[in-house]
Amino acid sequence: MNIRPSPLLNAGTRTMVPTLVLFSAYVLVVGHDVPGGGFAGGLIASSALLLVFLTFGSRGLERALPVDPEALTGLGLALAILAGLIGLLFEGTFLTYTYASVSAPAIGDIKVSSLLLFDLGVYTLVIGLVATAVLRLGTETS
Amino acid sequence: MPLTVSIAAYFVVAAIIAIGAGRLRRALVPIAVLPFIGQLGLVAVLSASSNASASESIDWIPALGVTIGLRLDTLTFILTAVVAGIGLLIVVYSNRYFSDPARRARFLSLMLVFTAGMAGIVASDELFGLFVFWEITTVASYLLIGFDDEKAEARAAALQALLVTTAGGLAMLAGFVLLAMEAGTTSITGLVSSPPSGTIVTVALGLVFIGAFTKSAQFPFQFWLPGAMAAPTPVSAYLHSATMVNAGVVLLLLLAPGFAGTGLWLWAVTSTGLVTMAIGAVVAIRQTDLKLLLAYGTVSQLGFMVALIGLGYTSTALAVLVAHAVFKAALFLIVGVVDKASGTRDVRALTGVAVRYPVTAVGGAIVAASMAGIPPLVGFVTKEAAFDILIAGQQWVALATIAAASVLTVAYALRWWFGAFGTKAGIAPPLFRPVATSMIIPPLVLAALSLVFGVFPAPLAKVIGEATDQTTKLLLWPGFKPALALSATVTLAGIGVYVGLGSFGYGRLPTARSLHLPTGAAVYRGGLRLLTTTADVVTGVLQNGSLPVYLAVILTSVLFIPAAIWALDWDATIALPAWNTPIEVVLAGVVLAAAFAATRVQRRMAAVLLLGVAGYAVAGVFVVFSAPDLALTQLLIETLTVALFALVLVKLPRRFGRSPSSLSLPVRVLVSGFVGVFVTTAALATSSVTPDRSLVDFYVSNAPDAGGTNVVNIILTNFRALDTLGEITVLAAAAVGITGLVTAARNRTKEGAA
Repeated sequence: MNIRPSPLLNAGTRTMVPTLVLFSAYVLVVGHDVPGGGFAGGLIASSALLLVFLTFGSRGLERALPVDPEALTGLGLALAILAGLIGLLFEGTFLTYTYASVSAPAIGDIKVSSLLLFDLGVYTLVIGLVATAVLRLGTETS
Repeated sequence: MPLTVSIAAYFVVAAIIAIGAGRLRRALVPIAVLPFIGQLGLVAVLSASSNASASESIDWIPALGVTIGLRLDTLTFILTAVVAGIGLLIVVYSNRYFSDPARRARFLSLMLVFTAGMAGIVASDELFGLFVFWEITTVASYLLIGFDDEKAEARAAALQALLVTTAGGLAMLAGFVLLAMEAGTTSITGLVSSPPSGTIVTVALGLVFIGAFTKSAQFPFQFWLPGAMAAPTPVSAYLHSATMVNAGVVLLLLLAPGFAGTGLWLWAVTSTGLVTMAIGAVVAIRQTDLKLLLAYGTVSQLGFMVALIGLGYTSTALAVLVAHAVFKAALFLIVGVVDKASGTRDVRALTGVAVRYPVTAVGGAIVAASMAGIPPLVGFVTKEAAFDILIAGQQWVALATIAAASVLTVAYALRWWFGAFGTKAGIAPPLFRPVATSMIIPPLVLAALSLVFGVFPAPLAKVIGEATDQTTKLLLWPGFKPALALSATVTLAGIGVYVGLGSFGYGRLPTARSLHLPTGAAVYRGGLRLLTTTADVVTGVLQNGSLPVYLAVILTSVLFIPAAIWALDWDATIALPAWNTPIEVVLAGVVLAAAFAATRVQRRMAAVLLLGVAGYAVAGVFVVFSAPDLALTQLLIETLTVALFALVLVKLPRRFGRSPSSLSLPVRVLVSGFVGVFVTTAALATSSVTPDRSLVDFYVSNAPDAGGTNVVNIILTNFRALDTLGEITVLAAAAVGITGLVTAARNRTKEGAA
């Protein structure tokens, strides 16, 4: 894409991207109890990637996301299936979830569930898909 | 579970050989013979013990009621002995046939898997367990027939065998389902002890027959078997004498006690068998390739067995099966020896083999004589029994057909032996190479067995009688009776035909092509061509590359399928509430204005932005109806969609062209109008229905235990997690598709530039 460097966009992106990524992680984690979840979180993180692309081009996005977007997509699917397999292993049924409580100093008990792993898979996959679309469709063919 | 274990042992050894192929080399065959010896020993021990009516069963897929059930009776023992015994000889033979250890290992592991399937079929007492073993043999035979996978001819033959037998197997499965439903049991013993009847059972049997006839190469499905001769000789010797092709006959043998004698059984099975026997014999006689001659001979002999089962003579059919397995395996193996020694299987090029290989020639003479039905060999004893029982039953049509085919059998047996071993004038003898003793001994063992069973048929008759609950008269000297006279006549006539055809010339015999008869192979090829042509046409219409056409096809399908079903069964009432809050009116106005404007603007980017506006307004509607999750997702999706659209649009002209679509304006208006009306009606109708609260209550009350209080998210990730997994799999496939399309387009551009 032939975008003229814009100082406004540049400054905006530099502040927005970390905020968006952090927010997406928040949306992912709290999604079980308030609006959000892996899909919404993944879309928020993707919009951060899109901003990077629009500001710094495909080179910039490749630097910011140092993995193959296709690999990221596959990783997401693998995580979701892994979450299902954990259920198969511990509870006897595919995609049934299992919980474990971890006590952390100063924070208290943290409930860790393979449900979150499934949502993390969805999150990763959505980022991978959007990154694939942006990088493959947005890059000049020449 | 001894028998189950002995079958599983084949799989285990197959895996060991496949994994250790590189290291085992010389040890391959010594390891491969173990499960065969083990199973033979087991059969000997089990048959000696008095507990004759035992069985084994394992619940395999209890949820579907699929059980692996095996019978431990005399029939199983006989058939298992045939499968394992001949298998053992083939394994020994293959040691020197495949000089390359890698090929030998591949053959052995495939053959062990195949044997496991076959041993399962002959012992199965459960319909669906039998089906599973049946399909194991189908897949393994595909790989064995296509063993020389660098040859296109072998691949085509393997595919043909696979398609024909799989199609038959599917028909058989449908028949099994119907039979199990009608009988209320999946046990074959239970099925034949109180056989169901009625139209459904007739249909079911017809379907099962298709499975049996395709597997056992019965007319009109016989064409795959000669094609399968592209396989290496040990494969042909095993699959087409003692195993694969016998599977259909075995299935008919198992079902015969319950259904033989019903009208369909009598007519369909008997006439198919007789026609097959005659056609096989007629075609066999004119072959010049020794293996093809035997292949058509096998078709003929299988027809013989099927015809006997059709008439209810299961014991005689089983006797023919055993006799045929023994002599036909030997015949194939001897062809392999001749081929290795001289480098050809063509009767027109072979000469002087008997002089060079006298022992093999004598062995060949014995088994060819057994095939022709000459005393004192087992082929004579069994054919004599068939003549005797048909004369006693006064089944003249069957008798005449079988006798005529037997005349031809004598003729092609002579042609086979003299073709392979005879000395012919005017042909230069081929350059002979030495053949390993381990390749000559297995067929000689089988020749000896043909002689032993022929001279001492009483033990064979006894076990066959036990196996089928039906006596059979297997006698070396039946006495001066009509059957003996018929046998003598048949033999003399066969010699006469052979001599007569020799001077007439085989090349002048008419063929199916010269008589303009449709052959099964032609029908098969035509069917395949029709399939690809249809696929071509359908793809060409539905996927012509025009995006408006794709959209129109999808939308029209939405209209025609669900809308048509709905229209036929309309019971909804539509309530039209004005609005709940005034803000809905504002949002509706925005959506309508944006949508209308999107159809009018000339610049692409403007159209996309207007669609985004409509999408944002819809998200606002979700907020009004307190669906924050939906609203959040909708907002994010709209944002990303517009941005992604923009990425693509920069590569397209800024404005829409004058004629942007391959569909005319009226068509587009019509399709979108109807879809709009349908979707609106559907939305109004569903929202007018008072929903059943029970599901909602279930989700709301169970969500906290399932991981959280956001019901929408818990439904997506837990209650309906499998759906979500399916959806994200589609997303992953879309990502792969994007990469694939862009990469392909880029490569094409590069090629074009280069």
